[in-house]
Amino acid sequence: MINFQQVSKAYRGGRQALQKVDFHLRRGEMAFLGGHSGAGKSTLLKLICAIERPTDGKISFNGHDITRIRSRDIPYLRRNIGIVFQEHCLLMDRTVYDNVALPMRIESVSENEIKRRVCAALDKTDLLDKARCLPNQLSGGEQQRVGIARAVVNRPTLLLADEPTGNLDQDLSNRVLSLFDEFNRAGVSVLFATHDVDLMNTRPQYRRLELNQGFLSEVASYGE
Amino acid sequence: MGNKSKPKRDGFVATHIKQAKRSLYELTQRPLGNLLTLAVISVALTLPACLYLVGKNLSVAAEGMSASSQINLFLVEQTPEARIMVLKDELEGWSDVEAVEYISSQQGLEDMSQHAGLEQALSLLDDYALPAVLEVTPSLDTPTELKALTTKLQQLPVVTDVRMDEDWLERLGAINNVATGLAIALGVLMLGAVFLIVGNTLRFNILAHKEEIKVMKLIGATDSFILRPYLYTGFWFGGISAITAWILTAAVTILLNGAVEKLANLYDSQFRLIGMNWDETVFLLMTGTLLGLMAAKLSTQRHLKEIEPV
Repeated sequence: MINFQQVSKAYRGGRQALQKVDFHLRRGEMAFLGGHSGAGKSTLLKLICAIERPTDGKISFNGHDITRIRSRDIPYLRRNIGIVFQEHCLLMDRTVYDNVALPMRIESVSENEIKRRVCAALDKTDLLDKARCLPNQLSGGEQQRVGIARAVVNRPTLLLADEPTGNLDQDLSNRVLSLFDEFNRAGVSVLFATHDVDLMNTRPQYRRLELNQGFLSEVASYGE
Repeated sequence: MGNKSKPKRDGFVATHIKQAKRSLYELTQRPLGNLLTLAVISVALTLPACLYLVGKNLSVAAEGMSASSQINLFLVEQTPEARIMVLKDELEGWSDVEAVEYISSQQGLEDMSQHAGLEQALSLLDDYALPAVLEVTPSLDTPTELKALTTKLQQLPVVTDVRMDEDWLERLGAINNVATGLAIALGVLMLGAVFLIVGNTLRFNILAHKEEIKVMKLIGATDSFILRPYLYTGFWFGGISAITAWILTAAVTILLNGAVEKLANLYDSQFRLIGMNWDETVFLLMTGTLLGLMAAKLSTQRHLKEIEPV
């Protein structure tokens, strides 16, 4: 699914965010990406969806080399990836329904099909009764679920989550994570970045990748 | 996830119609600001359209004048009628003369007395006779040929003076040229203003939607998808303004028609103001629309590149 080979990323000014990162996330696999803030988690996710380009190494997605992807191909790469952001990134002046429909509108899907898919996604995230609300009428946990619904609505092959539980309490975090469990069971690859060690410990069955000062290492799970 | 089935998509035309409607709807959501913008663009389009009409009417008027250009031959006083008739016949035989009309001194007086206010003046001229006149209508149009004809007529024995409206026509032509030049310059400036207004308005629109554009980019929107609503906004700005400009121009034409008619009557002319014809209307609408679209494209494309992520 995603393959990193000796990938390094240095920002302008010389700060080294990632150093010779090697990893492979297989199709249908779910993995945590741990490490405290500033360890390079966000940078790694940005490289996958081509928001940033690596300074060295090679990244491939689904067998395609995306290291030097052309700008005009980037949208089509991103349509295969569902991204969940810590700060939701919802459009505040549109209803929950319209927010979730956005990825499908981008692909000019017909309205009937959009309705069907959006309702399915809202149903899965337990938001069907909030479809006509504006995002700021919802609680933090609900907003995060809208973000998740938007990420999965067009059935991506990969879900990236950048600290989706960062602003949520233990209980809500667990519920959000359960959603990702479900999508993973449906066959979606998931890369879930979080600094919350306790949360990772609740799911020992998944791989754990740990970033530390730009270096990536695999942590043996408790389950094994 | 291998079951990513292709969902049913809207066609190209359907997508664009949907977007055009949506952009129009969004213009109505912020009526005051957009109305002001539309008013400014309309005025900026009306001005060159009106200037164009001024130029067009002037050239039509000038054409009418030159078509009726006549050469007046003033004859030596007391020339016998028979002699004049012989001369008239001779002139009518010339190839570059279309028609010759004889106005005797008696008839000249009568014509003059028909004009209001001149009767009293004529009574003062009691013992003064007007010279007989031969009105020659030439069958030529170029100024050089006309000049040659006048010199030829000048050399005829009984002719005292040859008068042509030429000087006046030349001046009118020169004024017409200046007016045309001015109209073109102002027109180009005004169209430039339309371009800048649309471009600037859409620049603000783009900047106001910066967050939204960021999110759209992140979930895989192509640049053309992001720009489409703005391009349609530019399209509507240009199109609606062009229609308004057409209406304003028509209104100005109708309002001025009475005054121009009065002026033309004073000059003994049947001249009427000419409005825009079908071709010119289509041209105005297309110019407005295309200008709006182009301005939108150039401005938004430039500003889209400034919004991260790429």
